[in-house]
Amino acid sequence: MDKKSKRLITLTVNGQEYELATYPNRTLLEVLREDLSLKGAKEACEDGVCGACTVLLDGKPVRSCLLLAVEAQGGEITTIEGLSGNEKVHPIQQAFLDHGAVQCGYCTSGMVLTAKALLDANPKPSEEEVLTAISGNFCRCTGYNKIVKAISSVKTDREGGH
Amino acid sequence: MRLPYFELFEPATVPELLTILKREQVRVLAGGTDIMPLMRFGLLQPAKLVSLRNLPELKGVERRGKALHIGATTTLAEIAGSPIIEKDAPLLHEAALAVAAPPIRNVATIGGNVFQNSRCLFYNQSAAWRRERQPCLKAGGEVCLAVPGSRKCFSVYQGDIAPALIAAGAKVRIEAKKKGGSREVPVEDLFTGRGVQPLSLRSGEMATHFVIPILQDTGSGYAKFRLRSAIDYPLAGAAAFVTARKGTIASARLVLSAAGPAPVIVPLDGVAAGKRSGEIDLDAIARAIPKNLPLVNNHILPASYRREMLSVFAKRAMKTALDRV
Repeated sequence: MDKKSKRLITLTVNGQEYELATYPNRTLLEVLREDLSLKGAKEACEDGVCGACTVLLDGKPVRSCLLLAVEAQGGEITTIEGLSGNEKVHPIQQAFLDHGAVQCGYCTSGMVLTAKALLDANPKPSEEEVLTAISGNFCRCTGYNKIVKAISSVKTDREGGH
Repeated sequence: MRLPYFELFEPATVPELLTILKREQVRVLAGGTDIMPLMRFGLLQPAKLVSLRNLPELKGVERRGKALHIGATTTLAEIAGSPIIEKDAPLLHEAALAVAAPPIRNVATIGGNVFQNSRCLFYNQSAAWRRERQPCLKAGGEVCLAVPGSRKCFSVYQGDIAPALIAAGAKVRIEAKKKGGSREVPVEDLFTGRGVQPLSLRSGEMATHFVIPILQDTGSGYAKFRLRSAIDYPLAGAAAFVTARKGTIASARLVLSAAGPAPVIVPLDGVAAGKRSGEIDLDAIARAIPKNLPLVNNHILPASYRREMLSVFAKRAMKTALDRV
């Protein structure tokens, strides 16, 4: 085979711009976890089904296991590590804590980021809209009730942005 | 599992893309939500991929006269969220919302959905699973694992978008760098009816746009059966599209998904056209579904049950279409 060559890409991850050299066959999830040591996005099904690898790309939730890193070139990425900014926890994370909406925790980062995208677009979602938004994120502890309650509570607790 | 190395082309113009498609043995990468799992399972092992991400002319929805032109890399989220599509192509809007979950729709494209591969429980499996068995016909082998002894592949086309496009009378624009390579054909012409190679686009060709006629006095409905409503491909799907003139049904189309290796157009001659919408016998619509659909026990539910559900969901889709006209 011919020489395997890397691509130079620029990603803005949690507000920090990175220039990265990567092979085209690596996924965004691999680059985030291995090159940037951001382990919040999880690898689970590798098949696009479960949502544990969810990150926000330009504000929208995507499966980082199905997206090549080179395809995210120029994108703004938010992972769970960057959600709270300088605060200790983000209000959505606080709501998950308050409602006990975390069991094993494997789905949690994906759930929280999906909730973030939902609440940014729709600050007062109905229960059905919450269910639709998180329909692509599986919780195998089946703790959905508390997750839905936590996300729904953010709208009432919130004072000026989340 | 990590993806094997491949070379990636990233053309910046459509002519450049067509040159690459002509010269190289490449697979097209759009949103990647269908092809990435296939690559992970080792079912596809392309040495070269061509990315469509730098081609804005393949993206977007535009009304031109009495038709909607939709670029092949328009995402399903963009389609589901487009007010023009909701108004002028409501069947496509409904079908787009039925595909997978919102995060998938944020990257999956209309072209990628139409050009998705057919599926089978004995094919869509990991390399470790397949290593214990002979390769099946679709995987380049000589046997069918679903129907031992068969020389025919029974994999099933499970797209939601293609049946909706076909029912609405849509065409697909195809470009190629050769004489007479550029053309517009009905979406149904993309399908070969063969499970091993379900799509007919030849090497060097690229589907760039879908063109949907905007008609007056129409009604439509898409009904989808699946176990996990958040994520699954259809186990039965039905797209119904009717037009009316002065209170009577002028034309009716019903197209099924998960009914064989290609979307199935149900012949409705004498069943619907010319009648008032309230007079149409939905059982007659269900009886018009061909009896010899090539369904076998190669999906999570048995063939007999899926056959039954095709009737049920066909009736639901048609009832919705008739109620809306």
